[in-house]
Amino acid sequence: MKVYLLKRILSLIPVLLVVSVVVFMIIHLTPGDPAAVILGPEASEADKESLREQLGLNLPLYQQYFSWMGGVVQGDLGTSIFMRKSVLSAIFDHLGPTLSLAILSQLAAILLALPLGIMAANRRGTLADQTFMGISLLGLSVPNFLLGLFLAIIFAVNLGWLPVAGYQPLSAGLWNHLKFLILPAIALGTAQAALIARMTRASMLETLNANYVKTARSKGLREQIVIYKHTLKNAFIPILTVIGQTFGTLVAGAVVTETVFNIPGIGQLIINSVERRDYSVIQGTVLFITVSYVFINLIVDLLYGFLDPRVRLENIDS
Amino acid sequence: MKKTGVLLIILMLAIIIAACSENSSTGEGNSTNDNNSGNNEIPDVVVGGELRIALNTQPPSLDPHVSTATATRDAARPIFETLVSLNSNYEVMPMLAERFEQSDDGLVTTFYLREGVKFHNGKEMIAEDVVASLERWITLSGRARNAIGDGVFEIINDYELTLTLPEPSVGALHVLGAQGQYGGIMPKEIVENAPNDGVEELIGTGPFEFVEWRQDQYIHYKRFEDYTSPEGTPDGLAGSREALVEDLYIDIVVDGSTRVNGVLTGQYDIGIAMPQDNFDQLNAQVHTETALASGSAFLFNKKEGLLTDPEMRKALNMALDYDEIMLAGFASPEFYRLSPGIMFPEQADWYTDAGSDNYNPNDPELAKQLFEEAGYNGESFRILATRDYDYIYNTAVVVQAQLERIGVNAEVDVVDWATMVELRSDPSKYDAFITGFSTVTDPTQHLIFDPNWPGWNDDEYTSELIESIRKSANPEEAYDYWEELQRYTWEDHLPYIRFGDFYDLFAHTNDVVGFSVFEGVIPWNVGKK
Amino acid sequence: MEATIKEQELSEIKSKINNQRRKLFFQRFLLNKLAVTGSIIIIVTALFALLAPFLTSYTPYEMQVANRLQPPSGEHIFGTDNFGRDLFSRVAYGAQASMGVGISVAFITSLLGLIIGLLSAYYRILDHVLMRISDGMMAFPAILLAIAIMAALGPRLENVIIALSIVYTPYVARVVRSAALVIREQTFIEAMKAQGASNMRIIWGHIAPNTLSPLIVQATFIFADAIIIEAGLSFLGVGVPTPDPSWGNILYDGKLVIYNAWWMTLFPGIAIILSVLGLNLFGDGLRDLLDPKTNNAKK
Repeated sequence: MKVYLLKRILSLIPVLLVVSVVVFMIIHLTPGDPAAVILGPEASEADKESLREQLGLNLPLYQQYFSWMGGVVQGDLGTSIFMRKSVLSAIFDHLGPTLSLAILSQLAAILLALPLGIMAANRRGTLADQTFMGISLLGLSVPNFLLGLFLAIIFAVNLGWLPVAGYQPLSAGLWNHLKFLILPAIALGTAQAALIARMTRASMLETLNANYVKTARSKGLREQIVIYKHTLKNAFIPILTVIGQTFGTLVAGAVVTETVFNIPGIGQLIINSVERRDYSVIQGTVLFITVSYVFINLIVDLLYGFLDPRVRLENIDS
Repeated sequence: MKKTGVLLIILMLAIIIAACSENSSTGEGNSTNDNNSGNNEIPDVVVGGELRIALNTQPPSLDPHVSTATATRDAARPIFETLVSLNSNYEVMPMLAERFEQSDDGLVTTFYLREGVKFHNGKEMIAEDVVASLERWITLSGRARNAIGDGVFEIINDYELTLTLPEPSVGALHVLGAQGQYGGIMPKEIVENAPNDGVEELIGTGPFEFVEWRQDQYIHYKRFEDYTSPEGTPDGLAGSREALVEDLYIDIVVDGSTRVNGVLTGQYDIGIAMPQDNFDQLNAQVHTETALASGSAFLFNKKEGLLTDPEMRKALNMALDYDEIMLAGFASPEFYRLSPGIMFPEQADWYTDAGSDNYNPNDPELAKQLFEEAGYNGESFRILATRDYDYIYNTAVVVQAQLERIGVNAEVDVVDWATMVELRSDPSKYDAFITGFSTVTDPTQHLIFDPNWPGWNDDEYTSELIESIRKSANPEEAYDYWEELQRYTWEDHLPYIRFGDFYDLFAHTNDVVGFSVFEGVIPWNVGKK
Repeated sequence: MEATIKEQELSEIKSKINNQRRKLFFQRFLLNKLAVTGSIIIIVTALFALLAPFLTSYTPYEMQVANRLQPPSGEHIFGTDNFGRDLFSRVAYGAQASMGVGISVAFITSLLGLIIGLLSAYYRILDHVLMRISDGMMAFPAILLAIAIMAALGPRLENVIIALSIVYTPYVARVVRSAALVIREQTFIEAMKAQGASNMRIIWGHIAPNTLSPLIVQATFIFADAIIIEAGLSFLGVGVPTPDPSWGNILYDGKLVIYNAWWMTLFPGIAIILSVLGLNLFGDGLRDLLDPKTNNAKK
């Protein structure tokens, strides 16, 4: 177990190195000048040049990379030249909304998807099952920003039930917090729900056909018990995998959804920082997301072991 | 069991993070008590409460010396004040200086400061603060250098200072009151050794003091108790100022439709830069106001490429229908006007329509002929544009379509704003780009006449005329030169095309009283019923 | 002589079997409702894209600014956009850009993914390097990577294709690699090695054909994903540049006027949903056919 954990964490290092180099290269190949963004549209070339010098943007690329990397190794993601505070604190300022949004949409997706998937598996081949498959495919086919726009038009603009956009922290009250997140969470969670539901159906089907389930049935156990006690537990591993993987796509989806709903989360932080060429923030945030993504998947892998002791952690990797 | 444990941990994390952001959110409602009663000039307004203004972009800095961005101007305005200010006719009026006098040769100006003006840190503002602030500002602002250049500030006593210029400068006084990278007055201790990308502490003399800036969310200001106002009827940025609300918030709301809905639902009291397509919707439910914003311009690259040839530029101009271009850019005739003046008609000292024969010629047939004569051979013009400003993008698309109509090729290079600013400085990257020019207080401040600014209007006759204007003691003396320069610009040289002036759309809820705009929203003398 | 005749016979029999297989496959395909529905939708969309010039008398570029934002009418059945251009024509021509991006990305990623996947399945050392790189690429969200690449390259149609190909190649490579790993361990490969067959022949002649089924299925899904991400990129303003229409950049223009011109969001939106749905149906059906054992969930 410990060896496994250590191996997993060590194998992170090349991944992070690749990510950091790729991100750094892409960002610095991008035209655009942070000094011009700070000084505004009508600044003179001379003023921009002197600010670039002050910010250290004139140094050769490799030098900028190593000085940034040197900080990262010591846990310092750098300082935002635009916000003039540490990248880490900028990330934490924007983390709340994204986490709330991601958790809410993941919860909604799971709550919706599991029962539907189980139901569909039980009625395989019936009209209900086919309808379910159709709807879930539709859910997968609607881009989340489009769904967000449609939801905003219907429920916020026409019906006026929920705010069009914006965000309030949890401290402003639970309802105040939630009412801003309901539409974005649905927009974001729909594809997730479809994915999880389909996975649930598929792995339920697989286990329902397994011999031990057949045995259980032949012993005359009630169908409910067969499903919940014998099938669901074993079907859970692939489902869990999907949940873990989709958490990463949730964060990606949040980038676009936050733009549509004007939620000041990590996604907006990245989009804004790209616009401002706030290099250290982009680099730091992408690194942060990557690390969290990898760790979430690590947790999911560890959960396998708890759910099914037969799974040898050492074998998951390949 | 164990998986619920993990879920619990995640949930707790979320709560902790949400709680961390708590200390910054302020309570509302209990601030209506007012300790400055009896001073209400506007009836029905209770001093107190909060006012929320939705701004369309996050300012790059709150230090007015640093950035030319209009968002900086708007967000710094509640905090920092200038030595003199401009009224709605762009005339120089007193502000922190209660009066000023100029020597007969125009070379020496003496400023007399108001006594007892306090900074937000409690310190009194005196001449050394003014001189330190303006000296830093001159090193940072191209416009200030252009107008004041080698001028020298001298402290006479705590309440008196002089500005001595080596030669007359037509715009020196105006630039001290100009908006946009403006010369806000700050305490000497803060200004000295302040880094070039912004002061560490935001301390000014304005009616509001700075409280907090939540990046990408809002900037919070509160009423400055010890504020002393200049005298006179409010007009433009001049005259008396009073903070009518206890808390002022500038909310950063980038998305246009969110600003619209926020004002419609009362989430924001005032909305800046509202999308013009929402005019009817807004007008039906809340108050709207339009205010002169800027000029929309099409700049030619005069250093490299096809448009270095003035004849080619004239052919291109002949092909364009300005009205269609402005309509696509600004949605409705309410939001633009066609005007050949490089300076606004409101700027009575400077306005002229010289050269207007070449303004909006819109003769595609003649254009075809001119292109042929200029030796056009099917090359494609590269137009640089950005979607970060809708009108820039829309203008580019229409210009391209109009050129295609007469068989002239053009491609639009759409990039984000930061990229555009970089690309436009590189003469090999484009033939023309679109930009807006903000208000200038005299023609010499106009970037189109700066030979080093992108587009590179490096022209001998232009520079000569600009020098003559600059060295005039006053606008009357300079007017003839200026008239000639504008004529030359339109008729002979055509370094750019100025399609016309455009207006920004503002909206405010029906509760807002005393709303006014001059070069941006004015945050004082405005309150809520 | 005898040997060649035998070989000829053998190859005839082989081709007969293959023909029969193909027929059988086609019959099973027709029985699969999902796949059929999907392919019908795709064919209709493709026809819509190809026949665009014959479906409307307007070009997608012709502007009548005075007629901007007209609601759907007999004249303009989808209404007009914010420049007064005919929206039906723009959506129809937009199909060319959006489907074009999808097809190109699916094709390029299949090719690159096949090569990378096969090589890393066969050569252990390469595997370590390539898979760590692909781990890194897959660890950050696809759309973020695409945004960053687009910002670096500039908004052009070709760059959208390049960016999405970079983003999706690791996913294909993974699928090919895991399929190839299974084959590699089989005895007949060992036998061939022992007989001295060249590595290239083993890889391309024997391993590659066996990875094609999962590859094709994956390519279908990438086709669908590419359409969504292209729309997302253009929606964020970094995708296909103006004035060429794509479904995404019509949506971008529409976002600004969403409250007074619903048609600019609705029609391109439906076009995206339908074509992605068609591809997903097709991919699902195809997977059922090619590998009945695999489950029905995507990826």
